[in-house]
Amino acid sequence: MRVQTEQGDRVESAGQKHFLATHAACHDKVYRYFRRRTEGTPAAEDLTADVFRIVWEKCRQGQELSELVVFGIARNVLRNHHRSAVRSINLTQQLERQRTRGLGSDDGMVADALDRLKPEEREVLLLTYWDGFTSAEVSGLLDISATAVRMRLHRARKQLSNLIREDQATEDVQR
Amino acid sequence: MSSKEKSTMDRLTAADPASAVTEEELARSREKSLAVMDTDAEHITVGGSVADFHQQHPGRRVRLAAGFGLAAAAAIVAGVVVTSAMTAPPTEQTAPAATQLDPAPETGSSSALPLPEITGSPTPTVEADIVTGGSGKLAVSTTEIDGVISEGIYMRPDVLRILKLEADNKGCIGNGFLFPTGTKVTDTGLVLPDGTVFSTGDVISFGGLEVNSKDVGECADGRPLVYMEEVRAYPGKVPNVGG
Repeated sequence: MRVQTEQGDRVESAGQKHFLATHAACHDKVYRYFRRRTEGTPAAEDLTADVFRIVWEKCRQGQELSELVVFGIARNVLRNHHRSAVRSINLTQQLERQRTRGLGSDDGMVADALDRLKPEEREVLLLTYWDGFTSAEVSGLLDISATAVRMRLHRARKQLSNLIREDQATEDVQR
Repeated sequence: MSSKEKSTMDRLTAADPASAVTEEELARSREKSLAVMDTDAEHITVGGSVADFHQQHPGRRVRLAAGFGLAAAAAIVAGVVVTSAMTAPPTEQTAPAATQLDPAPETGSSSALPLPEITGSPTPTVEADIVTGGSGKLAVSTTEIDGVISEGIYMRPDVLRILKLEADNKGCIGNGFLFPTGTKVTDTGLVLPDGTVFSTGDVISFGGLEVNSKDVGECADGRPLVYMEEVRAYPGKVPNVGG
């Protein structure tokens, strides 16, 4: 359906190059991002492919995408995924629990404590400690100020630490 | 951060579910997400593509969305995926002939076809063989092929070979590169299964390498080749001698 022109071919070729470079730079991080936040390998694969379908479309339009933009796309894709999952089964809480417990973590106590954090604080914590983003990057990704990132991170660390300590104490008493 | 918090953060890091991600998983996902290049698939909504929609002025988006809301009461608005590859005749999807890569593609229309893929590569280049050469990342697993196998291979340490990237669909190159099965052949070059990109026409160079051990293999078309198990970068000044 497309009209081929010499200029069009050049744009296509440049788009392909940008896409491949973006894919090489971001794929593994995006895949891991989804593995940390979805219920298993197939979902992570599908969502990663979805992200790069969008990246491919944008590259073909001549856009060059930074890692943060790609992660912005990944966040939207994940949000849509959760929305449709919730819509279809209407079991948000169960889904959330399954998500963190089914992630293959050996530390169930950490997973439980993570579940009880405020979502916005948990996200800052995970983007920092699991995805390896700096505060400035998290700020750009979540569109919040760097101060807000630091505050949320501080609260999340403290809260997680307290929750784990409480859980540990309860477990010790039960033994 | 207090020591208790630090210990919690250590536990959090150790509990990262992505630490269980395997290389096979990543390879499978890479392949799947690269497959979008095989088609001209474009998500179309009423009034244009999804991308066009996102580029519109917000006010227009709101009006459009409102219009869709009304229209939805009377009709189902379905997304349509137009895939021109679906209409391509099967004969166009066969693997390409040797020397698939052309530094200056004539038509540029091959994006409508599935990307040719290297198959049956007998001694694939593996991660450990991807070394940094004189001008960038270099995948090396073979060296001079024809007529020298029986005597073994030894490359003069004072010679730098400079080659332009080209490959056939079996992954064999006359001068001795071998790319792994699963490498995609694109209009612009090669993409290794691990995502490493080589562009057609890139001058890639290596030199001062010596073969410390070798394993004779065979290209899919019967040409012999040698797998270099260990390579060392040339440490001295690189002379400008063409390959």
